[in-house]
Amino acid sequence: MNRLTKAWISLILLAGTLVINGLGAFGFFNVPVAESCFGPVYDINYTGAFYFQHLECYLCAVDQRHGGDDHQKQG
Amino acid sequence: MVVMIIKNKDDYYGSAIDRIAYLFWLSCGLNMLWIISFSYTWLGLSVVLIFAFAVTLSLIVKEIGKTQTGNRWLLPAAFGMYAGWLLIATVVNTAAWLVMIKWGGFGITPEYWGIIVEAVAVVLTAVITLSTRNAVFPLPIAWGYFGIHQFLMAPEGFQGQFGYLPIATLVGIVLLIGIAAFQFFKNRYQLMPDVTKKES
Repeated sequence: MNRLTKAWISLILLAGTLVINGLGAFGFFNVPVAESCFGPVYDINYTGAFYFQHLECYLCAVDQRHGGDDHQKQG
Repeated sequence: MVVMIIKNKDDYYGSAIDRIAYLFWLSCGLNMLWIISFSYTWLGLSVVLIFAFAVTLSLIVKEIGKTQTGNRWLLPAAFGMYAGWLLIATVVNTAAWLVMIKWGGFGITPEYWGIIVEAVAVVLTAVITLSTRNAVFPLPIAWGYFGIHQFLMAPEGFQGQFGYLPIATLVGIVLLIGIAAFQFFKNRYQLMPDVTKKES
């Protein structure tokens, strides 16, 4: 396989990855959770705070799946 | 990638394509699988995937180092930032999984665990930076620590309820920037050392 083909395949895969990331960021794959969980997530893009918000969001999702509501109260 | 397509006949970019293409494809696959697993809160699986993803990106950074000539900055900067960010994401993903499985933490308080995890991440960063010789790698991690510090102190976050963790986070930022500066100096003020020149 020549270098140009490899580079094109890389670009196409990168584009696909960005699409999947975009779908993930806009909740396409998300399990249904309360809207309040997602509130702050998209306000802060790609900073450490984003991940902490994200973490909180997903912990909230997990909590709800297991019937708890502790995180939801923090909302 | 666009630059690599345009400059595929250039020795440097051509060699980089040969060295990283397959690893990059693997990283894209792992990235997509990770997004899906994390989104569905399959956190155990997502931890395995993000570890593999982080290792793959570190290998890419290492491979780029083998082709580094002159004062090239685009590939070391792009992949150094990407790999560094993945390291902090891996730590957070692992923490999320441990919380999900209600891990007891051997009775150690969450604050001390936070400090331990941050310290381990700084040591790991130093090891990877020295191994890959990429001076950019620690910087996104320092930025991640800044985000953590802001959230620890923010009214909508932890409201400064932890005494030592924010201080440890600030120390972490200083150390991470120091590691980056040290590697940059060691590389003779380049993001990665020129392989055609002998290291001092």
